[in-house]
Amino acid sequence: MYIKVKPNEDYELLNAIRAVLRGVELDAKEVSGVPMESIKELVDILKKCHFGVIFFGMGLTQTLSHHRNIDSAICLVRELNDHTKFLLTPMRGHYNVAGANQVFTWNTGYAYSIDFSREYARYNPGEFSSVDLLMKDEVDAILVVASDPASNFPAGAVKNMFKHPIIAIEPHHTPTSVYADVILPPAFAGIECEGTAYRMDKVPLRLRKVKDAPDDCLPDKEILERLLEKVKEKMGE
Amino acid sequence: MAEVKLKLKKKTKFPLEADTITPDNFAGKTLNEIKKLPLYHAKELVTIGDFFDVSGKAEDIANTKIIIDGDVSNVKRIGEKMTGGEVIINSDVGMHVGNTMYGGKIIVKGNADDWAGAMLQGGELEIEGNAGHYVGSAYRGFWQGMKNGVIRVKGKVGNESMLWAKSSKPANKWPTLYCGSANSFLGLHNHGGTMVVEGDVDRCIGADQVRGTIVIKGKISRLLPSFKKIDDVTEITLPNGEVITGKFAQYSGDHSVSKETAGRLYIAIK
Repeated sequence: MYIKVKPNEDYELLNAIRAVLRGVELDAKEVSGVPMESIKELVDILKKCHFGVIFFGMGLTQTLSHHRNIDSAICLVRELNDHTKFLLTPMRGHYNVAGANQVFTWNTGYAYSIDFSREYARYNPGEFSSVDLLMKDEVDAILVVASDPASNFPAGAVKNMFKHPIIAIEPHHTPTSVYADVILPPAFAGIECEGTAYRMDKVPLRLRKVKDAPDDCLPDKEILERLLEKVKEKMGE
Repeated sequence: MAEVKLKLKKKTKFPLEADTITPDNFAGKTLNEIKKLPLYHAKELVTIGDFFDVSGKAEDIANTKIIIDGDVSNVKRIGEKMTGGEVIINSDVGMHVGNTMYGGKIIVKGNADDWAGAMLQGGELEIEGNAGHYVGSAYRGFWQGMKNGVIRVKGKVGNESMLWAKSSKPANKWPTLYCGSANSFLGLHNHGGTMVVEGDVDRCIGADQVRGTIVIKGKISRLLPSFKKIDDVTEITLPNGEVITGKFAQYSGDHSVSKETAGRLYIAIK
């Protein structure tokens, strides 16, 4: 079954699916360009399956309603579990995003947007997330680890980012590393050094070394550990 | 009423976290003691005296009025958890103004940033300009947001205001928001909150509302499909006893949460 949804109207469709699942007769004849018969047919399929999984990606999280689409999808999965077994899994956009989230979560309790300025972890996307901090120009130095904010972040944030010194731990040639003041090229995990990556469904995978790293490239972990040592020395700890 | 005047010496680049600026903390203290109260400037622990000129006199909580001058648009958490007294802010103000406050009154003469009056437990918050996103909302991870009190915003409120508002009939607690206009997702996951909007609103109003009342006197850009029209009414009685007259279409919803719902959405008929 193929359902074509009008752009930016995902929330409305999820909302209608949940209402139909509750057994409500809706007034609307079509929702987000999808006729009511198709929605009823879809709900029927969802209810009758033995084990269902909703996979979602950036098509849902980066359009209008953003995280609220997922809020609604979570509610849908919760309700579907009254009828059958259902799961929800995010499809991550880049390599090992799940890994960063996992490690943050078992260290601090939060997956991202963590602030340590008061010496305990605080979580508040919209206040402590990197885009918001850059948009409000509340930073004075930036450490980028294995990421490319210059090509992914909004223009305003990138403009503010380039005002300040940037340190990039990055083996590739990217817009961020081109403008970085200091580049620390690490060894590739899984090729030039050992490491662990998390699969999209949060299963950790051990990565093995295949060949030696060129010159004196260090693994990311060692670079960060040595930086931390120097910072502690400077702070007198 | 005793007045304590604070004047910001110079606008800072990094935000100040001023959760100590409340009548509760100032009550019964001398000016020197007030000057020594802690603030956070980025990650440094500083004092009120470092950043503000302090004058006036403080009494007990209920009789202390704090007047804040200078551009405090970068000062966060003013009036956090206050239980009484009054705070008057004569300019724009930063995030989290009056969050989790239990009583008293805050008046903002300019605009407020995000999370104004978040998780309000009582008292009154008045904003004469516009407010940012998440006005009177629950913080992330909380299943109960604003539980009592009134927020009045003359201008516009941002996205996702009044998230998880929760009323209590036995305790006679009715969290209420009055605003000029609103952006999308007003009253998301509403559990009894009351919202009165004088002007227009954006999309997804009252999404996942279990119970509560939302009155819109202007236009709505897009109504959710899970709301069902009941009838037309000419008089609405809000849970706090206030009566609003005018021609309104009455909708029940959000039906995506349950088949029968006590949630009501009223939209003016022009």
